[in-house]
Amino acid sequence: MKQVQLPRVFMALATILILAFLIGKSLSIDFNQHQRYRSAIVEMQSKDATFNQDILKSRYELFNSYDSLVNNLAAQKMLQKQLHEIPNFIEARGKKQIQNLLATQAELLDQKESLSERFKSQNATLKNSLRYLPVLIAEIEETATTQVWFVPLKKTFTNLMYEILLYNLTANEELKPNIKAQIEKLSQIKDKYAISENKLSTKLAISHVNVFLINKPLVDDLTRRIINIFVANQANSIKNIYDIF
Amino acid sequence: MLKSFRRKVVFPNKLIKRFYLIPVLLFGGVVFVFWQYSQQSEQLAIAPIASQVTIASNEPIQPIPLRLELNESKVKLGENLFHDSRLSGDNKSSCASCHHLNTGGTARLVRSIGIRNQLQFVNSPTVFNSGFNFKQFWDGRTETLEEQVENLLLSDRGMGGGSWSEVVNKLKQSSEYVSLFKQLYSDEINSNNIKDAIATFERSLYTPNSRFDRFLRGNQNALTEEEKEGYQRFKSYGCVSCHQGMLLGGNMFQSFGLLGDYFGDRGNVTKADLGRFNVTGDERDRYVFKIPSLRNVVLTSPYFHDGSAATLEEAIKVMAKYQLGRQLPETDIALIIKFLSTLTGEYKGKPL
Repeated sequence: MKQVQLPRVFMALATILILAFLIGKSLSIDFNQHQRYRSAIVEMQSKDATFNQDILKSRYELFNSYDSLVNNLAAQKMLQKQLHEIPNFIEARGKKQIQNLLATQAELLDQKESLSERFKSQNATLKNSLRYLPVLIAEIEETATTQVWFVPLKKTFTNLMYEILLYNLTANEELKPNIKAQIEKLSQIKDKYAISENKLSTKLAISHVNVFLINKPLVDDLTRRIINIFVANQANSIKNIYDIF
Repeated sequence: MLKSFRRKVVFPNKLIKRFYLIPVLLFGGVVFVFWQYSQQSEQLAIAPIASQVTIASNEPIQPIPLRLELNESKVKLGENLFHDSRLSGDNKSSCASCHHLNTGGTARLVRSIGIRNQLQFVNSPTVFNSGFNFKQFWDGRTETLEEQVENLLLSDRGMGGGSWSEVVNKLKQSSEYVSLFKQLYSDEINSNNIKDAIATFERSLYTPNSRFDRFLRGNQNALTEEEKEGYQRFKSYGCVSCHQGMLLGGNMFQSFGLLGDYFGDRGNVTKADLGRFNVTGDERDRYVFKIPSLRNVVLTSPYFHDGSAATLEEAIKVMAKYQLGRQLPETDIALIIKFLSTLTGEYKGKPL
């Protein structure tokens, strides 16, 4: 009986030693620090996703102000600072790797900020003209109802607005010639009926259409570039290295 | 004999069984530890659904918060420093010299006058609500109020404070400042704490509860019908494309002269007119400026970075011409001014 019990005792002893080692290892982790750091990483990913979502909302007029973009970037910068305070229980090799990833993340954030500033300016210019064109057209039409050129004018403006709104919502550059064709028709109506600029401010309407045509592809390009900067992926890499160490 | 047999067999068996309990308990402990570890909230990288419901959620303008939590002692210290001319090189000008709280937080001059009567390069923007700006200065060269304080305080043309050591030494001569800083900061008087105190005071200069904010919060009677018409004009003409958000500005940059050559027509282009280009060196940033806030705008004339528009009417005409490419009817300008007058808020509970 003694011999049967002996291996069991040794197994129990070995188990105790292994478990004691594991518990000792876990106790070296400050859970509060760990919780804070890991939460900051996850929050960074969430903020980046929200930022991309807000860019799309701003582009497609679901958002009317840029405060959320500004606040989001400010929050990401704060989180970036927090992430530099790497917990003490991470060994030096892990800290070095995390710091390298953080440096790359900071560059990505800078790029995103820089592009978003340009996005705000050009998106606002685009929206300015998009908002103003219907007002301008309505004003022109109001003064022209009794004119002989009212019917062809109204038809051309209606087609123009339709083409503009369609082009605004798609990535289809083949719609551009349709808009230019409507502008050409406007000029033809003006020339045909010898309408003065005072009576029919086609120059202003054309200026705004041109502003729209120039800015729309730029804004689309900026939107695409911004949402393709993957700060969240970088944060994920930091999380993976952190978990390893 | 039976008893002794039991003692030999049962007792050692009990001991061994208890011995086996130890690894079981330890294993349980390890499982608990790892269970705790696994309770870290793991969120997918998808945007959470916004749960904050804003009262004016469909409007491009949001009300200023009614209350901000700030350290009142720091605000008080910052207020003293803000009005203290010892921060300037010649001990003659303070922050308040260009940002009078009684005149809308500005100097009401085309360009302010700095140390040794030197004319500044641009019009001084209002200090009210400056804590909400996404960047400071017309060209956005600083991110934070603290950086803005340092930039002006040490500027040869601004307050010409010389160096931080000179400023700190001057303040250390005052036993009152020594005591106040000691109460608030463990490392007492130094540049960071001076900046922190002044910036905290500036953050306290917010102006909530304007009539327009009350309208945004649901009080339809806060505005007259004409003022509401003015707001509609403001939106339909496209002004709100840039003058949006809580400050009706202050959160983006824009080119001055989208549909007209403002600087070509005005002439005498200076380095300050290059705006954001002076910071980035990027050609696309020529003549680009931070969109100013329109909060309390009726109190902050003259307007634009060059102070060239003496009245709101002039400013609106210039904006319409160079950003919209047209002339607005006088009736519409008047309506927009009526709307803008509803943006005057309260400071410390009293209308500005």
